[in-house]
Amino acid sequence: MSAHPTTREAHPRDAAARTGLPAHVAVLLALGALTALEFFIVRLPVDRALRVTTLLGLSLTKAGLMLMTFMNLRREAWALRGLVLVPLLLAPLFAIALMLDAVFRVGLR
Amino acid sequence: MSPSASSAATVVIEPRPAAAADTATGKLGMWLFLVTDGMGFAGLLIAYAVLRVRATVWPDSEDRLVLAQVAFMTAALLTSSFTMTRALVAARTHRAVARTVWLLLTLGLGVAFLGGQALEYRHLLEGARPMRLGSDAFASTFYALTGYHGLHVAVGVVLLLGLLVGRVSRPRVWEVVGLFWHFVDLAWIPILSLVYLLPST
Repeated sequence: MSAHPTTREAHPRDAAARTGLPAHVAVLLALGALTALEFFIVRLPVDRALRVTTLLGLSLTKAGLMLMTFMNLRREAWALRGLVLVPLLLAPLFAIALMLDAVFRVGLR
Repeated sequence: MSPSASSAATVVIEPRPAAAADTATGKLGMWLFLVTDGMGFAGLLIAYAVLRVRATVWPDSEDRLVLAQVAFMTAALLTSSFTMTRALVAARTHRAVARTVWLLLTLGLGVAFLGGQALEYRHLLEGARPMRLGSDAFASTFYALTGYHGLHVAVGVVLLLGLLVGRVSRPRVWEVVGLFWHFVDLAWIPILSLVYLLPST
């Protein structure tokens, strides 16, 4: 016999109430705010390099949010996280390296 | 039980439930597909970035593209990720009506995105200065990137329709389709920044 006979099993609908609706709404609002910030930043009269860096930073933040929350990557095994994140981080690194190479070559012309 | 039997070292290996194994396999398969597909997007984005840096003149995106329309398309896609997540939650908790409503919303937003893209292409192709695929490097990279992404959205819409028409109730199927749908949204993030918003020199 159970030590706590009055304790009932959690009903699936109780669990449904705790399925993270506030968290999902918060993520959606954060993604919307970051996107609005992106549209705002491109119009700011500041240095282009600063705008580009901020834009890329915001873009990576949004991608990270999407991966970790909506795609639930944070709850996956570390091996799977590595499998997904390593190529995704390598891609912008390659892009930056190739762009720097292109800038250097254009400068030599 | 006899003492001899109890002392015998017996190891009972519980078979893994078939459903759990299927879930793990399906999800892993989808993740692997998404990583390789992500490499395709990365290749296109890198090609775009290098072409853009090497070009002596690159048009300002605002001269050709309508940013207000892109903002609407982005909002539709971001919101569709939220509605897909809610549909998955409803599928996991076996709430059929909620699941269908959230799925219909996701479908509607996906179709709205595709409609926005069709209007954008029409505007570009039939405008005062038509921008065709071979017009310049901006045009070819723009159509390649957004077309490849649009194709993914269309495939996602077909998969969502499959869930709706097939009345699929197994949460593991919803999870796998949901992953693909979120990926479509994820792929749009760098396209928006690099192609639409990055200021030209």
